[in-house]
Amino acid sequence: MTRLFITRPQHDKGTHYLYVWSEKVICSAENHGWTIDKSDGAKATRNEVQSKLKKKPANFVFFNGHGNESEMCGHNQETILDESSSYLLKDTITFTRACNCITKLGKSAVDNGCKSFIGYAGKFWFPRIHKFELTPLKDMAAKPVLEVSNQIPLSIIKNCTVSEAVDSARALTIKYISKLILSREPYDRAALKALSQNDDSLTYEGNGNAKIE
Amino acid sequence: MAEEKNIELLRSKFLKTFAKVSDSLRDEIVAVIDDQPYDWSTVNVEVRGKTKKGDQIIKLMNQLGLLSD
Amino acid sequence: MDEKYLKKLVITRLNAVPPDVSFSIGKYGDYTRNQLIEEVEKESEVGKAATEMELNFLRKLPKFAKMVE
Repeated sequence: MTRLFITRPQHDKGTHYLYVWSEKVICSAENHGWTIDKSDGAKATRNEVQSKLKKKPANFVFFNGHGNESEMCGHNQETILDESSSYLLKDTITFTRACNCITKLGKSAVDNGCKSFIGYAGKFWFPRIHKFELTPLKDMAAKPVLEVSNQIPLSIIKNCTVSEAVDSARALTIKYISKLILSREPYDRAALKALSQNDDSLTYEGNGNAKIE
Repeated sequence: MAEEKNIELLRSKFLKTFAKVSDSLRDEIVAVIDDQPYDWSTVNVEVRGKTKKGDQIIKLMNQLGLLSD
Repeated sequence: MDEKYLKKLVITRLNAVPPDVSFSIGKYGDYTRNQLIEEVEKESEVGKAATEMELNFLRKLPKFAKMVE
């Protein structure tokens, strides 16, 4: 049985957006007959996450939240995974929707047996319009950026290889850019900026031909 | 003489770069002189007019790497 | 690169962002346009990240049309 493990802290506005937008990924995995393991909200703690990774190894790990070069964070910015615990990602494909994680954490994970680690080498940005704070799915400034980053786990779930998933995200970026560069709408301009920045830093470590078997 | 040649080169670099910027993106602010903002289009006017302000702006733009070869 | 000028340019550009837009920047959190301007003034980590984003975007403007060819 193919297993998705997903973390979705929800302690600030940014993580709330990622929480809500990740629902599409969870639905897709369920529709493909996957088992879903979630560490949501206040349960996205180091103990919970590491315990789950040890007891129920996942095929695909999807971390949402904050991060830096060597750590992924969960609820209230607690470090849930770092280079010393990256061995827990052995035999997985992992995607971190967070800043900078691929730089050291990603490399460490691959050195310790992670098949492939997808992430951002720089800051992960997205804009949001204040009036959509309670309805993130309606936020037209955030939509292009979060749809593009969703494209990676959605592609992995559809049995794409890692490099195909990244290419798919890039292709969607181009599609959005082609619309946004014709717009004079200031909200679209904010989206264009973030899309461009994130696209520059999206990359992977490990085996680009890895996919969920 | 050398300075004038350099400015001419920068002007042509600017015009080449400007041509590549989509119409709807030409309202992006690319310079600030004496607290006045200038977007691509207003810089273009200065450059075509070969004004001192235009020269000043394109030097600054070049220093920031905004002009492509 | 003239850092003082760059700061001025970035702040001028940020003033053109709608006031009801925030940027979520990873672990640093959520920043409105006005908060980002403060951070750029202070030359904080967030301010430097915002400056980098603005500069990267400006450099990319002439390349977007080719990207979507």
